[in-house]
Amino acid sequence: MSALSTELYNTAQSLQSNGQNPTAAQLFLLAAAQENAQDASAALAADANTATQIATITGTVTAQVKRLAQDISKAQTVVSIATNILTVIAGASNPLAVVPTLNTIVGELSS
Amino acid sequence: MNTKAFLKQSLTALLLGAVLTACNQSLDLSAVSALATSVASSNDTLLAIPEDFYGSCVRQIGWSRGAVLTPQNTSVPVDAVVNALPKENATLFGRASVPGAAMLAATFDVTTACAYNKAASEQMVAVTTVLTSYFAAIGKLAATGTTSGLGIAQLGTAVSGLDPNAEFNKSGKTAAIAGALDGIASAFIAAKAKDDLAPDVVAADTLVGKLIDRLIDDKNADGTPDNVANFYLNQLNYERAAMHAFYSNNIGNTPIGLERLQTFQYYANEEAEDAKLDQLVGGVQNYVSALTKIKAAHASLAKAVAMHDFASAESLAQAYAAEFKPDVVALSKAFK
Repeated sequence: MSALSTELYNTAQSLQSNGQNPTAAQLFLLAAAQENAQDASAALAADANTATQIATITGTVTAQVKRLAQDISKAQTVVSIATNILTVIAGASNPLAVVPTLNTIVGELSS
Repeated sequence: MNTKAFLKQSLTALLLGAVLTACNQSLDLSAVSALATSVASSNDTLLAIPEDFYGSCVRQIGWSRGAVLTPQNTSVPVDAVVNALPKENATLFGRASVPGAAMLAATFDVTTACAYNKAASEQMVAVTTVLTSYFAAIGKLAATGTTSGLGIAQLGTAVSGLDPNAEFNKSGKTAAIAGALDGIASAFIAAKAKDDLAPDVVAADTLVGKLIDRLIDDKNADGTPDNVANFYLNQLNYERAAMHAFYSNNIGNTPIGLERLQTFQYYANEEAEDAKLDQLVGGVQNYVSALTKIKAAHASLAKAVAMHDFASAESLAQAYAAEFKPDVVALSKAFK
């Protein structure tokens, strides 16, 4: 509690306990709350740059996640295609028959 | 490719992969992911105090209105304070008008009286969300880094299918090599995630610590607290004072007799309100404790990454589960 909000709060308590002016007590209490809130805002505003820097790092990490996931996905796709091709070749009576299919796949991967 | 060439290339890749990934092998991405994801998933609980900073002000104003807009010698329906102010300067309790009621009604209007609390509350929420979003991001990166293999094991099976009777395939080594290659792929993925993660975590550590300090630990030059937890405790004190004033101004003025008997329930209500506030004060302790542990866990992680000393990384998740989680659960209960 800042010096001012403490003073306002203590004044409110004093007025309330004396029973002399309950309305004034509540007004001082409200003033104390507003002073406290303004202190909180000022304190947090002082850390705005820190928060911005963390948010920037978070953005970097998020981009890294996306890139890594894309790399993994591409590699998995290539391996999967290779596996499928080899499986077809192994089961074909004429392995050369898959060449047109391979050309098509290569064409698609290159595009 | 013949099987000998395949074997040769596979062994070369295996050795290369082992060398490239050895330096980071000890960092347990699963542990990092568990820690970071758990912190991020506690976002709603960690936001309870920032959000209630405004909520407490609203309650305070309700009590204050009831405390000042009250005629003498009247038993008060407690729930009345949460309702809208009466029209035409009448009191909530219907027996008399209070001098200056219009001015008081304007002063104790939540929208204007709690505007500063609302602004501060939104700042607190924003700062907390920045923190939990960061933890969510590193958790996602660590989790992505635990992707297992690329499907090379299946590719090995397909290779075997080309010529099951080939000498190498008959030996069963194709599957073994393909499995090893998949393992290397996993290690490469993990190594990439760790390489990405390391500089981010190290760069963020001081900033994370600074922001958490603002939430729970910062002090002014004169040593007085200057952090969110304390600002919230102050606010709870104001709310409590207004609540007691409400009961004191109303019940305390009730004349001896039948009406005094009717006040007994209100004393019980006052005690219940005190207990609610005590629970919120207790929640602050859990909030401070939880964030202290998050700060310590992140500092350990950053140190482990920076020093290439990953021995303690695996224990982060365990420490978190044992210590951090109970605080979050207790905090959550305090605000239910």
